[in-house]
Amino acid sequence: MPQMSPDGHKQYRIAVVGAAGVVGQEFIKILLERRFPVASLKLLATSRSAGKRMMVGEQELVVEETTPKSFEGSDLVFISASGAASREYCPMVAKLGAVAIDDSSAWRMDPQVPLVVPEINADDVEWHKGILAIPNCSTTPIVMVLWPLHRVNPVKRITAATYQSVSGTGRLAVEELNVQSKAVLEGKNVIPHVYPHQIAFNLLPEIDVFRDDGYTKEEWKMMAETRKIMHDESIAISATCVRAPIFVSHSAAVHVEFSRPWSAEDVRDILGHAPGVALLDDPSVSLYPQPWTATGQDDVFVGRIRQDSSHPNGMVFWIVSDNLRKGAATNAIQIAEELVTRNLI
Amino acid sequence: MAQIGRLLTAMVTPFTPEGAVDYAQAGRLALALLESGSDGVVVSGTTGEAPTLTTYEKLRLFAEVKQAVGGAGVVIAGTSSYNTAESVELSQEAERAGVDGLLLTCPYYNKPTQEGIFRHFEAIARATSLPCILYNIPGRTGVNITAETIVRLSRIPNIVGVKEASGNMEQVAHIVENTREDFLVWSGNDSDTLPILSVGGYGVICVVSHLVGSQMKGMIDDYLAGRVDEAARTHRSLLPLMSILMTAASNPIPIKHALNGVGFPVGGLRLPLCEVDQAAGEKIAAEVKRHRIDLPVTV
Repeated sequence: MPQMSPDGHKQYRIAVVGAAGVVGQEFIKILLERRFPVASLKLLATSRSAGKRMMVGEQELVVEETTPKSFEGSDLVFISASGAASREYCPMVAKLGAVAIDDSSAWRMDPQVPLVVPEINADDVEWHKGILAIPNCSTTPIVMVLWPLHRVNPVKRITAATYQSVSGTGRLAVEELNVQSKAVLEGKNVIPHVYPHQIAFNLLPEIDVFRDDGYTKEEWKMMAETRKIMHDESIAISATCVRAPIFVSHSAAVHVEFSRPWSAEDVRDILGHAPGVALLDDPSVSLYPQPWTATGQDDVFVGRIRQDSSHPNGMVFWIVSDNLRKGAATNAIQIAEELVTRNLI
Repeated sequence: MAQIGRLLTAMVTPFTPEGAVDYAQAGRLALALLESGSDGVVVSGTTGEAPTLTTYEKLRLFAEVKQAVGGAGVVIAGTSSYNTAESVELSQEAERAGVDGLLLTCPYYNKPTQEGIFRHFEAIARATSLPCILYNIPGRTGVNITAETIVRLSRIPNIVGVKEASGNMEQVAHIVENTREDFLVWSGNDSDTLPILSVGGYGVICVVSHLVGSQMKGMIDDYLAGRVDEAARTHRSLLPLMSILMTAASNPIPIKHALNGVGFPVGGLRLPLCEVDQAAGEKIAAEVKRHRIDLPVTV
């Protein structure tokens, strides 16, 4: 049960699984930033990181190894770990009557699990059964931009090509890009560990595993999740997801066919006051979103908006967002805030 | 399902001086109306010049007005035309745009039979999860939705009521008497509000409430609290204003003139509607001057 603060507000006992990882670290940072009502905080990770000490605000906490007993006495558990870990831990959390908000792909397409971007489908939190999922970090920015447009001019077809940062893979990939970049500049040999090929000064059109239909699982996730979040199975969507030698923030070139023709002016006008979306679009001064400047921000940035010359109802976008924040941790904490507001924890 | 409320304003659509829809002003108008007594607004009704709005403009109005209003009041979208398939499609798109309910006009001009009318509304209601309000206005559509057809339609769970502008109190009483307890009748004529309440009706979808929302709300509240004489007094005092808005020229020409006159700019009209002539304009302004006007309120 949530605790009561001295001034009569509910406070929640929170556990973070994957606390040593890149998203886990953001969970902790953003919980503090947004002043989430935390009664207590438990940091969990694999045995590899157990025992590590971390400063959280003024307090030093020790990372514990995740075990089935870890979730006892928690109200809310944020999980950013492997799919296998999520598959194992989420039902344990739910069974204890607590709520798991999961960053993996394990539960996203489960019909019993709401997949939520609060700006779009906050009402879906109402039917949670102890597990909620956040979308893949390359899906969230695209639906954030398309949803306010879809409401007034339904999306028929999406084609996307992404440029995704290595932090989406995890801490080891960030180190690998660091080490490889130095090695290349020093003229040394590069041996790939995390990715099948060198990532420094390179592009890899392979994210997650390949499927029989030739798409990668990352590409499939974007297609399936977009339809689930927007509640519209009729949207046709095809994506190519590419890993780029960038530390943080994912970018995407997105071509969209709407139901009716309209102008780039209309689109800018709507996106100009869409919640959580920031418009950076002035070619005359080279103003457009970039991964370097989007990093550390919660907004999804959009620019290069123009009429698609190949289709009368088409519009083209360049979309960038911090994959660790709105792409993962911020979105998860917004879901938690939604649960708090609606008294669903 | 959100409670729809007794006093809904059939909102005009503000235009910019160039004749484009002024979405920001539409949001401000909706908030001002809620502030002055309305429980919600109807967007893209005939008062909102729906016949001359494009589908895109309608959907954007729905989304932007709902975004401006949030949880402060309901937004009902006018989505029915004389084409059933198009009405179904627009209704579904309005649902996605986030509105709280639909107002469905009886198909006009092509004079469907009662069976055709029944199937038209049934098709729309079954295609959406939103609450639907039927709209009977034979003087404009050319065909009455009979009380029997309305009673039949009331058995569809998400058809929650009817906006009655037939002016026929016998028909209204028959509807109230023969439909389920929670099937509601809103008056579609401002001047029939009190008579319709008196036979068991629920509220009004109103034009004059653009100007005197708080008095309309007061009249309804007085009637419901048993202060019938007070309600009747308000009714009689507002009657000349209600009347001039319907007779100086076709609605919504006079109300737009009046709103511009009281300092809440809503722009001009799209053809085939056009501005009142000078004499009618002066008559409207003179009548408006005799009343305590709510707008403009700052929101």
